[in-house]
Amino acid sequence: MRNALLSTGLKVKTAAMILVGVAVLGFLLFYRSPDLSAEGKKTVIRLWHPWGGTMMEAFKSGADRFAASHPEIGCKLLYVPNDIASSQKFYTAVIGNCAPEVMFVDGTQVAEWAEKKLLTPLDDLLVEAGIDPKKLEKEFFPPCWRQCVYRGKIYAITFCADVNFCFFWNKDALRKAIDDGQIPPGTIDPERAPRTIAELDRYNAAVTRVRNTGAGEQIERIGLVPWGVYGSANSIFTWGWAFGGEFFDDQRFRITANDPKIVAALDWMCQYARKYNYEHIATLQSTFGAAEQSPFILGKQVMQLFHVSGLKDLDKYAPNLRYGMAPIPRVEGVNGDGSWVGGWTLAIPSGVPDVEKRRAALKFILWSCASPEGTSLEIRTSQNFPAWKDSPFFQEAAKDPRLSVYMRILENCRHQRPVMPVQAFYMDQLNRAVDRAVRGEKTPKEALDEATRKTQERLDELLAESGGAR
Amino acid sequence: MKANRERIAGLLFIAPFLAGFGIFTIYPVLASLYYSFCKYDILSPPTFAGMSNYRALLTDELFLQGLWNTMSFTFASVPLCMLVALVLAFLLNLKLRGQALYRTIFFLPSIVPVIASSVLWLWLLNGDCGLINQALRPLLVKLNFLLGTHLEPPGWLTHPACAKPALILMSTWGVGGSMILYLAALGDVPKQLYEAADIDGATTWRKTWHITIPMISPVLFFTLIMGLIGSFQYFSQPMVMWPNGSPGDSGLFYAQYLFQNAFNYLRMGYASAQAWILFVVIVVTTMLVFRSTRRFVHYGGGA
Repeated sequence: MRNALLSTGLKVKTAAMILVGVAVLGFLLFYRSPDLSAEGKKTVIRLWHPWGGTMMEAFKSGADRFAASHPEIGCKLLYVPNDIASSQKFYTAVIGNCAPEVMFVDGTQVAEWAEKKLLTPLDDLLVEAGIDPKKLEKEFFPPCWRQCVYRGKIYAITFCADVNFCFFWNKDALRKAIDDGQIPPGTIDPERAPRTIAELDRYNAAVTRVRNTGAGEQIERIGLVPWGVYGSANSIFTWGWAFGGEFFDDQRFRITANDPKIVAALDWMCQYARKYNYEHIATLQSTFGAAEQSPFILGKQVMQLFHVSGLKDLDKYAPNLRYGMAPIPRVEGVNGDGSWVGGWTLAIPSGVPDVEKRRAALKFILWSCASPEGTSLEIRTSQNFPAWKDSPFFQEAAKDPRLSVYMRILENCRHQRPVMPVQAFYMDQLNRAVDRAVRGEKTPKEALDEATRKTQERLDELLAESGGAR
Repeated sequence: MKANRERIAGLLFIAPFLAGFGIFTIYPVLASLYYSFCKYDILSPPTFAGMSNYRALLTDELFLQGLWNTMSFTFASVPLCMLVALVLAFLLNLKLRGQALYRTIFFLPSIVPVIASSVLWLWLLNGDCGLINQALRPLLVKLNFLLGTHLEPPGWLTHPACAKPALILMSTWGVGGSMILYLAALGDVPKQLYEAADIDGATTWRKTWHITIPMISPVLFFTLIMGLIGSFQYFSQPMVMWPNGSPGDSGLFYAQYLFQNAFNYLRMGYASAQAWILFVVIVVTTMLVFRSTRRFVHYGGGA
């Protein structure tokens, strides 16, 4: 009798547990978080974005405003990190036919993703919406537009123009060095930026100070470290273009990293490594990573190239530092300087079968990238320069003396990273080439020849795989 | 009838595990073997390519360099870590006041997360203001003065020749786990053996060599095997220390290059081939170690 009771109790317990289990499972399967901007809308588009923190708040307010002015369209935002190594979620979503309708794509990814048929060409959609692509192109800064066009088709619209880079120099450190008698007065003017590479070399020679510690030499102060521009690959892009080189022939699909002008740029970089000892510079640069310890703020590195986000660090860690800002020094005889743009673009992934959703997605993209409201400073914060020339953002930014320097650089900018697949591979090869050359393990020519050969092999292999060989 | 029911019930109970094991372990392992013979970029179906991935790997300098880096790191760091752990275990086995406190202190570093300890070592190894070079510099100044040499403190993180020694040095920081195992094994050596040796007039050294080491040899063997396998898969530390590539690729490890190929370049087939080569290397090394150390491992239970 007791046993029977016990087993009845057990049965009740088991049944209860199964019920709870089913309830939890059902909740997990069918629960959808309420999204106000999507409620009661006819067409709902999903949007994957890479923003966190204050940027996300700003972007969210942008999406809400879009939804307010477009009653028929709802937006569902989802934070999905997207860097080179973590875009698998996107790949699997496209293959699994559940890709979002709008995706943030980094400028460097556009060509590769287009080649792999992950993105929808926008040309026909634009025409259908009554927009002339040729006319739209003219409204954008040329390199920002170019980074979205692959094999003659438009695959994305640039959302923000990353202006790479602005030249900064630490006026306080220069002034102090002159006052301390370390730089002979009259050699350099601390209020004026070097305008040419030759002048930059002269500044460097004047400001660099090496101290003998008794156990090797230590650099106390240096001017500019040419390979210290956000990694070696970005450095060689910057100086390669400054010297008039080109990294990719998009007509013949040839890698041209060993362009004699790029070799000359790397050779110039190597001169610094030889003159001031690469190891000693590397030691100086290997600070603890935090921005407050950056050699520029400490006055150990007097000149540096910064992305616009550098302003935030300077405001936070060195609010009283006096520094100047100018375009990157030019190479005499070369048209334009080495500045270039990157930045996020917006695209429609492939596998969005619903025409209405594609139309809505395009509306959102155009509103975000090429409308006065979508490109306003409020939504963008000062870090996301629009790529659309007519944006009211620029009237606001022009009032800020520092942002206006970046604006000027953007207006004159002529370059974007090569629009080709295997970008990540190319950048790793360039990193390696610069590293080998400045260490003196290879000549600039040998190092860049190798990068060219390997990347070309990889590019040819990929094009053969996708059946699109040229 | 009852046995049958029990069998069914048993299978049902382990069914969730079996399903998980099959879907998340067996299938990926077999799939990666197949992909290693294919060109596969995740986005389009794999196409069979025979041995081409394996052939390409043989001429891939970075693959060979990664293999060499990993091998040399393993063969330096595993014995060194065992030695350090053993010496610490011997010391901490002495009956002292505060023994438990010392044991805790020496074990602590191994519960520090890998990322945190790597960042900590970045600071210690910093060539300009790191603690290690700050301590070395005054010594070198004196030495240079006395000998007329021009010695400099090493650029631990920036010079190709120093990167691996730096990582090896760093790996000794994590010996706490082995140390605890050795301590447990030391506590398990029968007292009678030492007493018998004392009666025969054995010295401490002879007791250590002929009693202690053989009696803890199964544990030594276990940590050797686990250490080898762990080192072959070494990944996180160099990734944290050189996110943009190590000096002259001297800190490029096998697993890192595999990851790059798989996820940065989407060469899944190529990466699968690498994974299988690593698997074979680990199996062969483990087998060699098993064979060569069999004579030295003494199991008290007579196994």
